[in-house]
Amino acid sequence: MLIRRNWREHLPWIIVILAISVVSIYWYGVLAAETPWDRRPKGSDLALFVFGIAGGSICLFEFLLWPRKRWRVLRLGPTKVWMRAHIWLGLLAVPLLILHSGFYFRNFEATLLLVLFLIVILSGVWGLILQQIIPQRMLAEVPAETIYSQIEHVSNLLVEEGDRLVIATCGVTKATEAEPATALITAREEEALLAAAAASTHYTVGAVRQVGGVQGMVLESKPALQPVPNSEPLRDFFNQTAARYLKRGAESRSPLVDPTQARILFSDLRLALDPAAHEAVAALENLCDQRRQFDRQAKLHYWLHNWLWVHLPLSLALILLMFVHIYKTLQYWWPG
Amino acid sequence: MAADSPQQNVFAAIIDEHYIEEPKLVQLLSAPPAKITIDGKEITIKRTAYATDPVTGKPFARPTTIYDAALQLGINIPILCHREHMTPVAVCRFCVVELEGQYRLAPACQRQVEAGMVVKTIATSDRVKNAVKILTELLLADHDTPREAHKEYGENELRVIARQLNLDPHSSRFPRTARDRGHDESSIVIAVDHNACILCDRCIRGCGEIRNNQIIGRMNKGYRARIAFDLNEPMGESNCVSCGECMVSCPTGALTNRKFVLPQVTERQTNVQRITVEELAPHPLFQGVSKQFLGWNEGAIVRRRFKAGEMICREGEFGNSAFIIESGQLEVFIAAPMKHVKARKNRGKGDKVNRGLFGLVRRFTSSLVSTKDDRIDHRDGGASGHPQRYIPIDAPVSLNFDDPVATLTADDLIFGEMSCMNNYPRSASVRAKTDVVVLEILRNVLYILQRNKKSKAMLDEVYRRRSIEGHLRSVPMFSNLMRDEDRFRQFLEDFRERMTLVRLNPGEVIFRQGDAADNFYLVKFGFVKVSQKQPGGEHVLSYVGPGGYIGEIGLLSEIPEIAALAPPGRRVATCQALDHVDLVKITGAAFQEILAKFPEVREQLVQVALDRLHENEVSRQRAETTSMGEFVRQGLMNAQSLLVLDLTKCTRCDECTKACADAHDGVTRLIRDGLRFENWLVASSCRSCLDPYCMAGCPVDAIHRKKTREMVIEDWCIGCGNCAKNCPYGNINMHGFEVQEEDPNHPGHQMAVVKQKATMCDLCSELDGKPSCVYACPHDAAHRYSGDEFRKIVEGRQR
Repeated sequence: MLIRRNWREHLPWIIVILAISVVSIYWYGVLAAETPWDRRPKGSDLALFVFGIAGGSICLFEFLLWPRKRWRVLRLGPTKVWMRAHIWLGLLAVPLLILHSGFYFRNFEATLLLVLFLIVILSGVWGLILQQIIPQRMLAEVPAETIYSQIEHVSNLLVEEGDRLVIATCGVTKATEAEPATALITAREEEALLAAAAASTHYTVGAVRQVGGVQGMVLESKPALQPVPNSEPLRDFFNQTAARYLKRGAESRSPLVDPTQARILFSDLRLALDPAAHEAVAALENLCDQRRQFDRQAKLHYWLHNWLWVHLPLSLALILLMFVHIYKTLQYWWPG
Repeated sequence: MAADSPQQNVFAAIIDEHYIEEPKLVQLLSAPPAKITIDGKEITIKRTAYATDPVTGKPFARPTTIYDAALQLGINIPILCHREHMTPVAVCRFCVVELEGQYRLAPACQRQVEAGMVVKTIATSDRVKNAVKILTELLLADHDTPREAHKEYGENELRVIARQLNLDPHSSRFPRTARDRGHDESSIVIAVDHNACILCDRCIRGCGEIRNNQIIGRMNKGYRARIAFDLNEPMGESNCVSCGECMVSCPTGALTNRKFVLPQVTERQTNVQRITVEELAPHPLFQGVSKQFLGWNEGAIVRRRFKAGEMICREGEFGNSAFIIESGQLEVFIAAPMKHVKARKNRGKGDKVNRGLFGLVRRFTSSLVSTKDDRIDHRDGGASGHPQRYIPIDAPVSLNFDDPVATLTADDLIFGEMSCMNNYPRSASVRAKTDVVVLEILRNVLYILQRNKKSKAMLDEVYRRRSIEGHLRSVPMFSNLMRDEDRFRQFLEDFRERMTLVRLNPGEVIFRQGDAADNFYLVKFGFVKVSQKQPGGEHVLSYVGPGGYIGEIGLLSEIPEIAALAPPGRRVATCQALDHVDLVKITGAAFQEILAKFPEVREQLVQVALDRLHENEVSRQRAETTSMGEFVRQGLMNAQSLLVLDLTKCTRCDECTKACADAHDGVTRLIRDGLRFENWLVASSCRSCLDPYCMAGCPVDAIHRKKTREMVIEDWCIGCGNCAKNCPYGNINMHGFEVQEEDPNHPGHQMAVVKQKATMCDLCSELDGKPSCVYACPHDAAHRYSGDEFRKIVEGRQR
């Protein structure tokens, strides 16, 4: 959640948690001042007990965000309000639970609980920091961004689009069975592609276009081209180099992974082709550029979400341990 | 190459009996036979010979040449540019012979026999042999190898001669011509390789003399000389009727049969019978097509027999063939339910309310339902389905909205042309009502039929006689007229003969913005792209499909309201064929007559024209007055409720998409992708794209643009999925509904099948008005704005 831009919406929360924190610290201070030097305030003291109850309740509430997200369509208040509460109440829980500990760290279970809590909080804060930075970087660096889970599917579409482009430029000739492109596309798909290309009167080319502040994937319908003579180098380049890269991205270890090398390869390809085929080369270069951006997107996406691998399981562990702590505390109070 | 002196030349070819009155030929007919010697052999031969017209099969007289005499003696003289039924032009000079007493070698194909001639041919004259060898080598050097010639053409006559002269047919001691004269693959049935052309002119004579089409001629001179179609148009865009005579005539395969689609017949198909050229020849539809050409396409025509009740094709299936009905009756129908699809809150079945915890949760969810009660036709602004509404389909009939069933007979001749030509899904299911015999033809054959003079005339006649009524019924502008059946019939009778079919190839421009308005067009099949130049560039206004019409605004300029918005008598947009398009042309005069005689049609036309003009004007003015031209061109200004994601806040968690899926039976209608304005991603139900490609290809014209420019899917969608496939943003989804349909394996029995229908995001407007995607966004990134609100936000950002 981006806080900087909408800080006014967050201000009441900040004021409230600061006020509660100050009041809590003050209350603890009063209690500590009243307590003899030979003993510290304990969790069973009223103030610390209240802090514990409040902090525990907050932890439980924090955890409820998960089921809230699970049942998304339930009209239980907008999820963004839940998220704001999750962030600020989570931070409020920090002073409350530290105060609840009474700065007494000899009890292993209670200390573990506090450490776990702090790790969960820190991972959450780390995630929050990443959310302030990465979406903007993604916006700036990945204009061709697609849905993360669809990258593989969209990459396959890029291969198909490239194949159609090559067929429209070089004409319909069956690729030899040993060619890499054929290995990437099954024989049946190849047949279907060839048949469709032969039968179609027009084809579509997609590209990321930017006009001023507007950008997006734009499809253009074009009448089927007359094959360009002597354009076989384009087919060879696509089959041997580009198709594999479009399909697998950085994993392919293709020279196209590096933008500088890619530029050189495409320049060489242009030199080998009739100028009539240069439009197709530009379109293919654009497809490779999109694939490069998908790799970048995957990397950023990883950083944007990897903190959850710490935050979520530890949150669950925290809740479980919290109940253990409550149980043991109750046992201590009512030993009989 | 110049011909010999006029005295020695034979005049132009004689292709029917009328030419026999030519004085010179009459004189020859009565002249005594001539005695000549060829390679030492004597022959006395008549001064006239008979050749057979390949089209009519009738013999015709022409002057006897040395070549004819040599043939009678069994002496082989090589020929390349000559064929016995064509006017000899003697351009290749392969048939040259040496005449005693003459220095110059004479072309045997053209030189008329004269008494006392002594002739030496290639067999006996070294001089002739050397000349022909040199010619052959020169032509081989100039003659690039045609692609897959061995597959497409058979034997190359030039190479045969080269072999006879002990020359290598694939090389020449002379350097090859470097200049690329180009290829022309614009025709669907004939490929032209200008590099393989040796300029023998056989195609030109085949086209002009034999078929009398006069399409092919020569252009340029010297090394740049080549054949050309019309005024150097690509063959597919020329007036070529695809009779195939040029291919049949070509000696080198420079003009070859393309064979786009392979025959689908397999031996396992029991109801299929291969059909020979001889069987096809008497069929009136094929009489104008060259037999040899038909022979090359033999596998592309099969005869199919269906028993009563058997399915011939099903709606939504992709097809690449058309059907010519030979006998029997067929039933055409749309099996998909004619229902309106909408999202509805789950409240339990019937009156029963969901109870318990799960019931409570379920009451907060929703699902898609299809109802028959509130069907809507948006073609005229969203009024409820007109009782007289018809759905355009790919057949000579249109289907009634309420009872989508019709019957076809042999008189209707043909159906399935649009699927065949453009590879669209079948628009309706067809079942044999009685025992039926049809000819199934593939695309190349239909293309030939649509262009061949005789077949075209026949198809046009059938259209006027049979199909026009069905077609006009599907055009919304006639819906008021159809309220009075007598008036509609009167309209048909008055204008039936004044409507002409026009066929267009992909990319062909029908008219351009600013052209003088002359005709009005109804779209019979295919899609027309309508675009307009607006500030900032070309804007695609619409794709007009079957049942649509174009060109009315320029012809309505006498209406003051229209004259105020459009330049009088001028086109306001450019219309271009997106694929193979059939239009019905109504001349301007006939159109004015329709307006005068039928005020109900006029009223509807004027209203639609005014709506279109107002919409364009508003869009243009906005584009001019705002700096955000692109914003306006995307149609966002008109949007009522855009779903906008702030990408600086969005963590790509996809909660919005998941919420959408949860709200709609697990099928999301939202794809978190689309156009971006600064940091905003517009993921509304429909962006009313610059190029609304989803509209192209709907076989039943069920996807339209509303006045607000949003797309809408009409209730007669047959679920073929073309629009979903074409939508680049994934805003159209297919949703399955269970319906009862006849079991093909057990006629008379019903079976449950899942029929697909296309659905689009309605931003949960039919639920509680709160879009689930916005509600579920945890990062405050998803918002809902009107077009104007959003513009202000983006403009504020830009400042």
